[in-house]
Amino acid sequence: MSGEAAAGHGHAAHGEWECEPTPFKASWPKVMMWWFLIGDAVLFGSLLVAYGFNRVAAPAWLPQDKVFSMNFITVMTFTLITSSATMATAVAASRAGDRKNACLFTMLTAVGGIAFLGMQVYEWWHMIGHHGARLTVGPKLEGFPDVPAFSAYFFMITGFHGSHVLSGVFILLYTGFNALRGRNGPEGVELAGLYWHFVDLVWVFVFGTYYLI
Amino acid sequence: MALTHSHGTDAAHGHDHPSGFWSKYIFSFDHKVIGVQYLILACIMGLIGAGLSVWFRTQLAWPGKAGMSPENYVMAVTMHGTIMIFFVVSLSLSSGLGNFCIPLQIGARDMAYPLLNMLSFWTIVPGAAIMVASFFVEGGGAAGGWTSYPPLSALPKAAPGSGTGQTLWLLAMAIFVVSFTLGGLNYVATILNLRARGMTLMRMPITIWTYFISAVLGLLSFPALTAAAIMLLLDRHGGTSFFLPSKLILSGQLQTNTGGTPLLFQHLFWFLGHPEVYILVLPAVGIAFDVLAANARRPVMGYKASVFALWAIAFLGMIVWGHHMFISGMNPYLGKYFSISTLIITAPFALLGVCLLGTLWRARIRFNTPMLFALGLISAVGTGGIGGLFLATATADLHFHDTYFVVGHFHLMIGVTSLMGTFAGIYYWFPKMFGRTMNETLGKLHFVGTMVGTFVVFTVQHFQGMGGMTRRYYEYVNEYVKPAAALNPLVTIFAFIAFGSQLIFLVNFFWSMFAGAKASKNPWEATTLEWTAESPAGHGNWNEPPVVRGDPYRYGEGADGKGWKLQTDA
Amino acid sequence: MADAHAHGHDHGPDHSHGGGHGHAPSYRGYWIAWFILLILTVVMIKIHNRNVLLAGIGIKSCIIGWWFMHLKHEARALVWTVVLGGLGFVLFLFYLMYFEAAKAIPSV
Repeated sequence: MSGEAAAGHGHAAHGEWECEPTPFKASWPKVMMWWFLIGDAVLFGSLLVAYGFNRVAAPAWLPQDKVFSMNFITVMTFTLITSSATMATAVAASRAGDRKNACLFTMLTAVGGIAFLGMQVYEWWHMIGHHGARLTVGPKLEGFPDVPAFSAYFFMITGFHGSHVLSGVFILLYTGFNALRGRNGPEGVELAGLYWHFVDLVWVFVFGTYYLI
Repeated sequence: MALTHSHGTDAAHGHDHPSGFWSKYIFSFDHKVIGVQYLILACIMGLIGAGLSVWFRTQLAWPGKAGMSPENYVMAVTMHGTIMIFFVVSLSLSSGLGNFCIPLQIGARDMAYPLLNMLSFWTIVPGAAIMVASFFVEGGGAAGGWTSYPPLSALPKAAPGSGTGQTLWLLAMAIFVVSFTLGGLNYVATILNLRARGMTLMRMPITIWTYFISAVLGLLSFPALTAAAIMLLLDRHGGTSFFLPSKLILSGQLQTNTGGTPLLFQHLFWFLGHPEVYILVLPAVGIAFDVLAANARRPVMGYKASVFALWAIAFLGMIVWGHHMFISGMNPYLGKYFSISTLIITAPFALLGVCLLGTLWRARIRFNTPMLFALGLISAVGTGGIGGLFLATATADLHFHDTYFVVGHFHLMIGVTSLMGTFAGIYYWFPKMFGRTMNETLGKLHFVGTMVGTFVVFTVQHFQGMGGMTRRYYEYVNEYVKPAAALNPLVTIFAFIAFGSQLIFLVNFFWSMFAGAKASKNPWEATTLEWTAESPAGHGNWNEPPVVRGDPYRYGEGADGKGWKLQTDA
Repeated sequence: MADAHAHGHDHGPDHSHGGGHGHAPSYRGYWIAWFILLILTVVMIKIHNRNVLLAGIGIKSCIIGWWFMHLKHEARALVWTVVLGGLGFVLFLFYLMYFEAAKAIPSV
């Protein structure tokens, strides 16, 4: 597969080094990326399990639709899903050898990521400024008790997800420039794509379990 | 699919055989050099970790004579556990020997991503330095036990070591997890993708299987600890209450935390913690298989059964973490499940034991040092495993929990077993590392001291535990525990013997590196792939790519009376 | 696909892999998946029902994994590793933690 030469040079001095077929039928950078994503999935999974544990055990929880504007969260979700679709398009373009579109759609994805981050900043500002939430103080709602865990898990989970989005944006910008100059093969774009789709995948779970259930 | 090896950064590196001191020995991309670097780091950390145990064993045997305060004692115990598990056994066995063996045994030039491999070593070095530095901050190193349960670890004012020491502990552990994850990714990608032509999965030496399985376990379980560490840091420095319950009183003051529970931390911690045991034990068993087969001159009995047993152990190891928590206040109905599933692990482990012993069946054994350590490993697995049956049973564990029974059990499993495997591996592959053999006399002395010392220490501790001696106590003053505690001087003396024999090993290791007898290409007449490379092998391992033509353990074959065949022989 | 690269070892850093990947899907499929994801998001928000929500999460993650992350083109071994490793053990962790949190008796 394409990652080998893209990632470096073979050992010209020693001629060809043949390997057994691998059970995953994928190049090693891709295998590494998948295993990294599996590990990261367990990390996010553990955070969400902790949240679920606390949620089940907590005597009271706040109604999310009174704290957050559901329309706004929907727009955030749309943005991320759209950026995932543009990313998939970029990967396909890069595979077809279409450097321009690969770069264009990667950059569009990065723009989507930046837009998402901007909305997340607004979301945090809304929680902190409008609802008076802190890491240790829950958002204040008329007729509801103070639930510190509500904001603790909010800041931790969305913050950790946001940091992934942020790093993803940097990776996308780097990949996009390289794709335009033809410095990485389709696999470089594909690996960045895998990471970006994973970030989107995590948001599906965060969105479903934290904002909706 | 034909692939070349690509060394992502060879452009910066120049040639296969770097000439400068720095690029050859310090910032090397060569998996063999990196492996040895890990081993040397583990030796240094091992001296510190084992030195701590000598210090607190002195206190236990002759209270008040070791110049140790109770605070020092809990700190020493905590840091001993942390350093030994994460910075000695993990580094020497998983990272050190793993890096050295994997490409050599599967017929690859190097790891899949040599730069990442070097980075993972140079990530762990500051981690180790931070861990050691935490001794010297105000309040001393972490003192909440190696498990760092909250609230002791979550409230900076809970104990002297809960302040800066605990923060540095968390930081060092975070660095360790990063390094270990990078290493694990490399292991998995290398073993899956870079096997030489003919090296199918079922022709890999069992050592490689165990490294693969332990890398998979590490990648799946360490993130849970990372999650727990993130929440613990927020609890410590952000004032949150993930792990802190309501109405907690610390030195007469009601804390403001509400709504958390330490049980959550314990679940997340042991979701890592139990697989971690197998991460440490399985590669040792794998190495023992290789050493046993080579020195018994017989193929491993039940190769397929062993591989199956290893996977079964790994799978079961992921879902039994709760047996560390029987008396934590966990839902008792879960205890029933954890008890049963833990006992099921006995079955694949017994299968593994049968395969280990069956390999020796009617063999003409060569009793050299690596073989002695491999035999010692079988003994340690068996002895330690029996204790595991008691601890897996929830009803028995009510009595044994947090006593020296547990201490003896897990030291036999992850201490003695892993280190026996590590030593077997080091003595066995030393010729391949340096082109010289280690001194046999010193090696046998090392083995006898280790075997006698550790077995007396840890088997006696089982009985002390049954006698009611609980762990992490500075001094035993209650009347009922006096008979058990009276054995402490005996245990301590044998602990000194065990420690002293490790010094013999260190002398032997560094002396033989420069002055040992020259070794041939294949001094043990072993059959696996690494013995077809030069001793020591240059960067790149082989000039011509090896082609594998048979199973890993081809002893008792060969028509010309030689009695064995290399894996590359037709 | 696997052999597409068998000859490409001595390429310089600027070579491009034109073609050779037989299964390069059309863009249209991705945007159909995108549309389904949008619909599902709206359904999840509008219908306040736990089962619908969980089903929504499941279907959405399958669409992202299967089409966007190209799991449908990958070896089955990789698919199972991802499902069991990334999701299975975490779900099992939660399954047991649920009884812990709810102080309930496991129904096993």
